[in-house]
Amino acid sequence: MPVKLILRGKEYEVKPGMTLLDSLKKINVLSESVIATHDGEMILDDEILQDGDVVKLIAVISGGSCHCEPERQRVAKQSQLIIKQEIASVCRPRNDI
Amino acid sequence: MKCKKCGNKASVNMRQHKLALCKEHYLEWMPEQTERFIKKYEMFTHHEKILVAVSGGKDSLGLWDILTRLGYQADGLYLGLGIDEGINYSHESQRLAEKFANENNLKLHVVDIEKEYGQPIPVLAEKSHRGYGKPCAVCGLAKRHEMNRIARDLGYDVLATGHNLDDEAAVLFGNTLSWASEFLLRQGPVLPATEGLARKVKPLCRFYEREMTAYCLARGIEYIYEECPFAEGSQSIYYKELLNQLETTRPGAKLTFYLRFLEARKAEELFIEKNAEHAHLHPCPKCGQPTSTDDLCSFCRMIEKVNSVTAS
Repeated sequence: MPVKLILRGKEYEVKPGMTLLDSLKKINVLSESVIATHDGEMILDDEILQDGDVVKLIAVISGGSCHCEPERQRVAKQSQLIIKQEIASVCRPRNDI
Repeated sequence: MKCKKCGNKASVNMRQHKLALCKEHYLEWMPEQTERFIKKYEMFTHHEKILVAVSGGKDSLGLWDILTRLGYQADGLYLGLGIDEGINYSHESQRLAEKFANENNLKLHVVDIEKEYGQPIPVLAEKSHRGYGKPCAVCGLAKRHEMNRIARDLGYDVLATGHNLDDEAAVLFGNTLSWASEFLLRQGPVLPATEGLARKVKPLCRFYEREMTAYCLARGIEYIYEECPFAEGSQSIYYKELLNQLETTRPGAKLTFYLRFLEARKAEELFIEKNAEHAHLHPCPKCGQPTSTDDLCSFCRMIEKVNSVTAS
């Protein structure tokens, strides 16, 4: 199964077994411009992505690509929902670490 | 990658500092560093009243959170700009600013531009014909005016904004490209109070934008993810992207760019030509060419060193 990367409502697929850094290079995203989360944890460039992993990328530069009005509304709603879920997930206390 | 402090799995890696930290140690490190910058640049003390300009974004909410954790007397100011653009931008950012204030039992002043001046920002921009079809110039002007007015009217000692290092580096880059010397000489972490103008400070000016994102994620601060719709395609975002390309291949480039600028400005080295007469040049005892060192010039020293290595 491929690895799925999601950024601003857009989904990208890469082969498993690569590091996060190499995966970001594949989809032309600068590692410097995003924070990556997987299973509610922030992950770093050296993380090796496995079969079926879903990695959410939080853009750190405010703003982004231009969208037409309905597309902008859709992306804005979806992005705000994703950030809300990720915040809730990343900041929850964990017993497993 | 392991946390430098405890050896557990790291969550944040700051290549410019060669420092990786786990979530817990990162959440300790951020306020420690902020306190260090507040003291280093003499921004304010624990006895002063601080007004934090809060937009509902990651930087301003992160700043408010850090100052509160550090025990500062920090209240918030939210300016309702009346920007909708199909995504309820102002409404949503106000909701998040109020949510943060309520959850943390903090005082938030809300000032609505339309209620105060009869029109929201986009209409003020349209009617005043300023800003070449975009309301950003009018928005900046109104924000500066209102932030200063509220800070003074309500007796705050200092106004704090959430500008991070990427914001500062992008402004510096833009001003350098056009050699805007007047603006270059004014940029810094502290803008001292002058007659009628409150002191302005930027406690986050040495943190990268991604560090603020990581901080909000790790602290559970819900912020408005979408930037103002009018910021799309803006010059500052373009400069930030360019600087991040540079940072990717040269970690620390953004930090060095900004810090070396601050050092040069402080030392009054910017745009001041060094007077050769004051450099105390004298002839090198070996070759006779002018040198500022007390003994041999750098070239003769280099040749001597090569000769001594070759001989041994």
